[in-house]
Amino acid sequence: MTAETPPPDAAYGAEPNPSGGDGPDPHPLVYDGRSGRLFGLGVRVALLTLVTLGVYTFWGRTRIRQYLWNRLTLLGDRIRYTGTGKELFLGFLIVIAVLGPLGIAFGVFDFVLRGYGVFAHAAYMAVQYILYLFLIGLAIFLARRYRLSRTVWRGIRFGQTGSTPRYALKFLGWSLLVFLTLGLLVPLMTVSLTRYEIDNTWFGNRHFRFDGRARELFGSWIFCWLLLPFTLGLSYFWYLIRVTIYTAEHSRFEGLSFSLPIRLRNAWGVLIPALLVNLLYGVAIYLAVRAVTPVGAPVSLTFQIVAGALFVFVMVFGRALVLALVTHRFIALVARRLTMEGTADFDSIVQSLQPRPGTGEGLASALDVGAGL
Amino acid sequence: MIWRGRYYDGRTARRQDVTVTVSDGTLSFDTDDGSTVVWKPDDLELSAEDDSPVVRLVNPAVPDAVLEVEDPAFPQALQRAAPGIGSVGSRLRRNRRSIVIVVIACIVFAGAVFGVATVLPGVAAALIPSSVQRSVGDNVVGQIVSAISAIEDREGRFCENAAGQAALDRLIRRLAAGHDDVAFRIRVADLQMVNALAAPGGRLLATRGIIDFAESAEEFAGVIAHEMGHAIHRHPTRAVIREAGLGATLDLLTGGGLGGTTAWVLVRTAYSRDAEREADDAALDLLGRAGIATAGLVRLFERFEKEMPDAPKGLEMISTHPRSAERVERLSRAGAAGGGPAMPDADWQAIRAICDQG
Repeated sequence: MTAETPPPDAAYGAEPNPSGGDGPDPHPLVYDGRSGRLFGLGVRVALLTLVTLGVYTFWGRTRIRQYLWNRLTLLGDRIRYTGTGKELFLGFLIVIAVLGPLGIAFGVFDFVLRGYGVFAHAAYMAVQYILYLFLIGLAIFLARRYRLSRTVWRGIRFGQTGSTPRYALKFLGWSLLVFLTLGLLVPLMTVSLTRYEIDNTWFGNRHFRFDGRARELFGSWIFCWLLLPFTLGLSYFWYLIRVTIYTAEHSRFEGLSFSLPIRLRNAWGVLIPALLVNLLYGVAIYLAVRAVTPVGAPVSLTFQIVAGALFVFVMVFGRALVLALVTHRFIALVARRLTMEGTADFDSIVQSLQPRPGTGEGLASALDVGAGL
Repeated sequence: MIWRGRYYDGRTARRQDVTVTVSDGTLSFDTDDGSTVVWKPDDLELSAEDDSPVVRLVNPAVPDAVLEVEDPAFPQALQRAAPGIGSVGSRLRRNRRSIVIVVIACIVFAGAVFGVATVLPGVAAALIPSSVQRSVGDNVVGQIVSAISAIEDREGRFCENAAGQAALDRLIRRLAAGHDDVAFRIRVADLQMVNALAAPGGRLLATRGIIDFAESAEEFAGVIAHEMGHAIHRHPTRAVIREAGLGATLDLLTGGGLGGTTAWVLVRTAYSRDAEREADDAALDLLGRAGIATAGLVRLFERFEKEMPDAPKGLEMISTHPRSAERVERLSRAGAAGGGPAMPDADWQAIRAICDQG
């Protein structure tokens, strides 16, 4: 599936609907990325990462984002990514320098507590898990702040305000509630976190607003939740798409509102590859673990070779497949169907005086959170 | 020559359509407020992807402002005005400091991780009180017996025959002479696997399998001495700390790239080999001081290598690995001196019967 060529009236140099125009913009977002190119980029990044024992991953991530951001044209002007691999790398090192000793201390306590019986150890594991959830919340919010601050359109930066610990507490609290209710309360978590994120998202010196309500998402969620075991998790991806649609349609910026009418029938091109790639990953990991674990009957050499080959294949091509078949298609789908209504006086929007965060995503890199884009 | 371009001044979100002129080594264009912006191409940062139609120019002096030109002929004209602009060389030169920082950071970081991986477990093992280590060791032995017995589909019980246990304790006391800092305690589990383990705190575990596999008391004593060597050097505690403590940190690293996993596997393997060598040396020392023939140890390992080539390894604790020829040779050379029997024959028979019920 190739990206559609942008309609002629959205080509560079012409203005289909300049700010201040009337009527909904039929095609405000244009995406001209190519899946073949993304795939090649993904493979190159994977190989370089392998060869550098993982160090290159930060520059690789940057290159991929540069490509994706640059391929998006909003109202005739391209979006730009100004992050660097060095920023991601240093952020990662700083976090490791802090979390490393902490992790070791926790590990040593873990060892000591094992001698005090199951109950003490279990309580300790619970504490660790709660702390871990909190860190993930921090990581998500900080990573989003970094990515927004490195996104530039018409020379003006995006940004994110808000209190990171407060977001992390929300994340922790909702995660525990979702866990205790076996996942039923997910829409509450979705809306609470999304509202905090969107209300704190800025373009220049103006911010977005979110007016969504959790009860409107419950219909979709219950449907997806019930179907989870029968669709091998595919219905969860559909829920994520529904959340994207809902977020877009309930976000406002100045006088602008958005519409993203994606139906299930439009989304198969994204959902099926997502499911297949996930299955591929699952099978590869399962076979790899089975091949090296001495449980029951020993495994044949053929089995080990096949498992090993599949594992290597997935490690090298997995990310590239996700990029080309899932990420690319999802962005293309959103770009095709996003419309905008209303006006905004962009000339009056001024560069924010807020300083950009110096480094970013250190915690997210360390915890392997917020992967994908 | 002139080109059509877009200019964003980085102060407001206004797009300005401008015409760009490149001549006489300068690049200039008029902005909406009537002023003319003049840039020197040599100073500019150029970014253009291979198949992107757009060329972006940024002047580091005014980093928020961007000039975009979408004309395939433009890059060539720029090259003529400022050869080398946007080339890898100029990019490297401009980012020189960043590159140095990154390389130094990598080296320091890698050094720190390896340093901690080798030094920390030893320090921690020395500081953790023995009572705690013993407690953990008992727990670990119990877990291992449960796990292995589940795999072997057996009951997972300890062999408690009093005469056999007494004989074992006598052997331990004889071998441990002089090492009062470690409180050794040995138990035998009714498992088929041919193995002996050292857990934290001087806790030793042997299997029925290895008692049956040993053809003489000296062979058995050799294996026990080897495990006691691990205990004396606190390898079990260090291994558990290494796994638990650094496991967390290295999970972080491998999250950053699959190359990290490979490096970590290499570090682990090297460490285990050193531990095995230390245990071998300690075993020879213990056997020598107790006056027991060391040939038994060598013989058992040789037989083990030959008769059980695909013994499962990879248990959490330090366990006997298949021996390489190099190790056997080293052990034979060092243990050439004589030595006597490990125990009276009655003791050995009692040990062989330790798992008999009733």
